[in-house]
Amino acid sequence: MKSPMMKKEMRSRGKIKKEWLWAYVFLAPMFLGTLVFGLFPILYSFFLSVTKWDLLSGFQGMAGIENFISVFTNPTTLYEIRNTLVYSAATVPITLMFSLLFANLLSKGIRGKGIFRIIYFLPNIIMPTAVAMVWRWLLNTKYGLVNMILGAVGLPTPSWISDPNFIMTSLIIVGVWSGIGYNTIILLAAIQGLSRDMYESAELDGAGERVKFFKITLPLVSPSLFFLLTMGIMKAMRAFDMIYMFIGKDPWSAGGPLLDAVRTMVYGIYFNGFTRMDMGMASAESVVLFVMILIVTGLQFKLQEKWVNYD
Amino acid sequence: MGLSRKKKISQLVVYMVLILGSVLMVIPFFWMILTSFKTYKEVIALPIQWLPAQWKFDNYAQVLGKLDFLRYYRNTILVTVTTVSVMTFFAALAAYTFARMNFPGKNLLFGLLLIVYMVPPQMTMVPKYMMIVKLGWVDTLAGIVVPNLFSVYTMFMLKQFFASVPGDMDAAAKIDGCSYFGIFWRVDLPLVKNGLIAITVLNVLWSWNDLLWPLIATSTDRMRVLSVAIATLNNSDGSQYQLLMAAGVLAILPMLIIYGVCQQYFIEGITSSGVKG
Repeated sequence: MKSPMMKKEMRSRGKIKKEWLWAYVFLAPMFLGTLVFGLFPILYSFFLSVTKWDLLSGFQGMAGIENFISVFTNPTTLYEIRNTLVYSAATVPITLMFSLLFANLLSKGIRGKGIFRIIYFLPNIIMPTAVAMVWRWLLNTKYGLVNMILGAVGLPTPSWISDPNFIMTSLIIVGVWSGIGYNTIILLAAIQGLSRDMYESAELDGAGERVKFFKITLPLVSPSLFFLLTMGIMKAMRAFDMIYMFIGKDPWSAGGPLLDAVRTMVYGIYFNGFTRMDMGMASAESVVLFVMILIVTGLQFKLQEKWVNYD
Repeated sequence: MGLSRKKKISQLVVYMVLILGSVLMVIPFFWMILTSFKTYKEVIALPIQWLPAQWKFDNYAQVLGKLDFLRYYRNTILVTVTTVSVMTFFAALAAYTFARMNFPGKNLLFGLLLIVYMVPPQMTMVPKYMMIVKLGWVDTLAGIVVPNLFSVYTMFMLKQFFASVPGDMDAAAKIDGCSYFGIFWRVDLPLVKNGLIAITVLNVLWSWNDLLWPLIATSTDRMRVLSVAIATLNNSDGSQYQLLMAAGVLAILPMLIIYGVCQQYFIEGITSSGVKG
């Protein structure tokens, strides 16, 4: 005879097994899909990076570290590495500075906060290709609105997109413009989450706006700033759409100094893989980009101990 | 007296900075819309001609008719709807499982998904392209959609939403003989409705706007989507700005409408992505 106790245990064990089974069934699509279209391509791109692989004729033999040597010696890929770093190092901090300013002002109990928030986020809604297209038009040397305004107030009117000395600046301007909304909304939420008491007691001590901002707001939103900085840099290091739109499809004709001034690593991966059809080289550049993102992110986590406040 | 005047001035400065910022944010859109109604002559008129002489939809007609934007519209809607609905369903199912169920290997499986999530998708575009070539999926809906159906990010977000609602109704439903799928679908999914909508609108936005993957996965205009069509138009008719702007307005209009209708969900989705990190 089995005791009722044991029966109950057996029944609950059956239930547990059933729960396991259903858990695996529920996870199966996500997990198998991620294996096939996530993990496998990752491992495969490590493999491709040490092969000679032409898009049309396939495997041409092993390459060892040849592709990697090319990445670090070809002038074009070196431009791509430089531009990726310059674009990220400029765009993200400038965006954060503007976003901090706007978020701080929006938190001051002003009227129409909701409307400002909607307007500031607007650029994030828009297809990046359309954004790039509008800015190409706004920054047009002869007929563009920007130069029209600059000319009217007597400022220089450069060839924003066709001058190699200016195209990176234009790219950064558009990058900042598109990023402000997202960062402002997150920082605004962070600032509004802070307790008012601290500000009130600081005011009693006679602290002005500047002191309150630098001594209270800034340290207390530093975790959000850190989040936005790491995510922002990760995203900026993968910039592609704007460059593709500014340069055009035919890099051979655009070519030369203009392209070199603005090509980024994802552009390089696309260009090497799908225009030059050199999958080995494209994969090596992917691996280098991945490692660079890991290093930069790791560095930021290391450095955060110095400035991020987690109390 | 003096203090309140100083306060008023500083208030004024605050509004002025914010309004200046707003103007900078919206001017490109106004300029886009104005340009889309102009003729080519008006576009290149010097000195600048601010308003079109006649508000005619000729450029729009040309973009929709001659440039086949109706097809790109259909394709984009098809791609966005299938991608987001299937992606959200898979992610929600997995998120629920990780948040509410117990099974061996849970941490291992979660860790594996986390590792994949750490790798930027741009890194895998070359092998993914080779895979869809092997599968014969180039220029097909499957080629654009299937590799994007497994969003670990969506799963993380939804897991947090599931974890933030109480799970005590699960047990009651279980006693009532509700199946595991029934508990997920009828009991818990409605509880995270707001989070689900928030992540869905963000995914719709991403899927609608994405350029790189559809650019790689299509080579003819059979399955071409709006983002790729815009890029192609940009490269072929680069100086016909009145047409480019009309195409741009058409491409962004649906997202503007969705944003207008459910902007609180966008804000909610964005904020929760930032707070949890």
